[in-house]
Amino acid sequence: MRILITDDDQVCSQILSGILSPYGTCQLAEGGEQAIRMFTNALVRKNPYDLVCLDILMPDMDGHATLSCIRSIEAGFGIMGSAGVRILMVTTRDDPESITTAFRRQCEGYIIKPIDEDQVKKQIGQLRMKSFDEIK
Amino acid sequence: MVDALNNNERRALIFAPANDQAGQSLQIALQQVGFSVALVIQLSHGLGAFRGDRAGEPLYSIVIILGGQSGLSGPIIAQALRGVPELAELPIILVSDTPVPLARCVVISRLMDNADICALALQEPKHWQSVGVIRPDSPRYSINNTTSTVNGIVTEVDTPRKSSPTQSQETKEDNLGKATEISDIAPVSLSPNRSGVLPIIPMSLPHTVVTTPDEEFDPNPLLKICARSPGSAKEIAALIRGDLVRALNDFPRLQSNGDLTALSKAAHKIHGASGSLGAMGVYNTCLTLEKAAASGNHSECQVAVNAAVSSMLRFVQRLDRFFLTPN
Repeated sequence: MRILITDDDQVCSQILSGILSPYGTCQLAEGGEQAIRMFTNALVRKNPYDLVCLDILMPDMDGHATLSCIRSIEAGFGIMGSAGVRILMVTTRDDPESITTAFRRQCEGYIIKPIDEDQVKKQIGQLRMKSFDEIK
Repeated sequence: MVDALNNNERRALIFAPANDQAGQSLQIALQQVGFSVALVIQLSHGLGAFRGDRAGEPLYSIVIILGGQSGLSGPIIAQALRGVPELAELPIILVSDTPVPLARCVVISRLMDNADICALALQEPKHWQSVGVIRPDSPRYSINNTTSTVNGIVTEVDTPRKSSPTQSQETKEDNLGKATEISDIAPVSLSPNRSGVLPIIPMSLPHTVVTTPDEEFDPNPLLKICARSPGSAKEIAALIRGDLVRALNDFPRLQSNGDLTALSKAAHKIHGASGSLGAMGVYNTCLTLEKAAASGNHSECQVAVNAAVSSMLRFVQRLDRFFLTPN
C-alpha cells in the first residue's frame, strides 16, 4: 500500500503519517506541484499510489487544482472511475463551496481538521480498499 | 454535510436545464423531505461534471432529470448512466422542468424505499425507450398500459407550470401541491458556478465545538498516534514549537505592518496544526485571527493577535514540559 500525503504543514503531514503508517508506506509532498510530480512518476513507473491525502490551502497549487490535475492525469493513462486512486481531502476548509467542489472534482472523502485519528480510520474503512480491510 | 457526502446517506443528483430555477427549487425541496445532499448539474454539462461512483458504490442514491421531454439531453444522460456498471441499478426519476411541488418530492423520497423500482419498464416515447426511468410527473405515459403505480405509490401525477391554469386547482386539492419557490423555503440566492453546478444549500451546517480538558495541549492523542514510535511524538512537537516561535514574532509584526493577507495565512498554518495536537486554545484563537485578518478588520486583528500570542505562549510552555517527560 502506497500513500501520498500532501500538506504544506509538516505537523499535519507527520500526524497523518503516524495514523496511516500501519496501512502502508507514506510519502510526503509539501505542495500540490510536488504531489503531481510524485504521482505522475509513480504512474510512469507502474507503481501507483493507492491513497492520496490532500490539503486544500497550499501555497503553490491548491488542493482542488491538485485533485483535478490528478484525475486528468489518470484519464490520460486510461484510468477511469473506481480504478483511480482514492483521494481523501484533509483540510480546515469547512465551507460548503470547498466541500462540494472537492466531491465534484472526484474526491472520495473529506475530513475537516483538526485531524482526529478515529475519523481518519473511519474514512479509510469507507474507502473499501482491500489492503485496508485486511488490517482492520 | 460532510458526513452526508462521506457516508451512504440519501443523496440526489439533479440534472436540470440551464438557467432554470426548477433545479434549485427541487434541490431545496428535497432537503426538506430528508435528502442530506442534493447537487444540481446543468444538463448541457453532461456527465463530465461529476464522479458517479466511490470505490465501486454510487456516490448518489438517486438521479433526477428535470426536463428533457422534448430535448435529447435528458435521455442521453439517462442512457449514459445506465451504461456504467456501478450505476446501472441507480434509480433515475424524470420530472418535468417546472417548479417541482414539495408533495412530489415526498413521492420521490418514498419511491427510493421501493426496491423494485428499477425493474419497472415504461412505455416511453422513442427517446426514452430502454432507458428505464421513472416518471412521477406525467400522466401521458403509462407502465405496461396500466396506471403507473409502484406498490401503491402513485408515480404519475402532473406537475403543472406555476402559471398554468391547473395550478390553482391543484393547490386546492393538495396543501403541499403548490409549486415550491426558493423564497418559500430559504431566503437565499443561488447562481451556478462556471462549471454549471449549483452549490449545496446547507440547511443547518453544524458548528463544530471542540472541547478538551486541557485547552493548551493534550499530548495523549499525539502519543497514541505515535505509540509505535514514541520518539516521533517529540519530533512532531518540536516542529510545532518551531512554528509557534516563528508565529510569536510574525503575528505582531504582520499586524503592525498591515499585511493582513500574510497574517491570515500565518494564522491558518498554526490553526490547522495546533488543533490536530489537541491545543484547542491556540486552535480557536488562531481561527479567530485568521478570519479577522481575512475580513480586513484591523481593530479585530489587534485583539485577536493578542489572544493568539497569549495562548501560543502557554502552548509553548506546555510543550517544553512535554519535552522533559521520558519517552
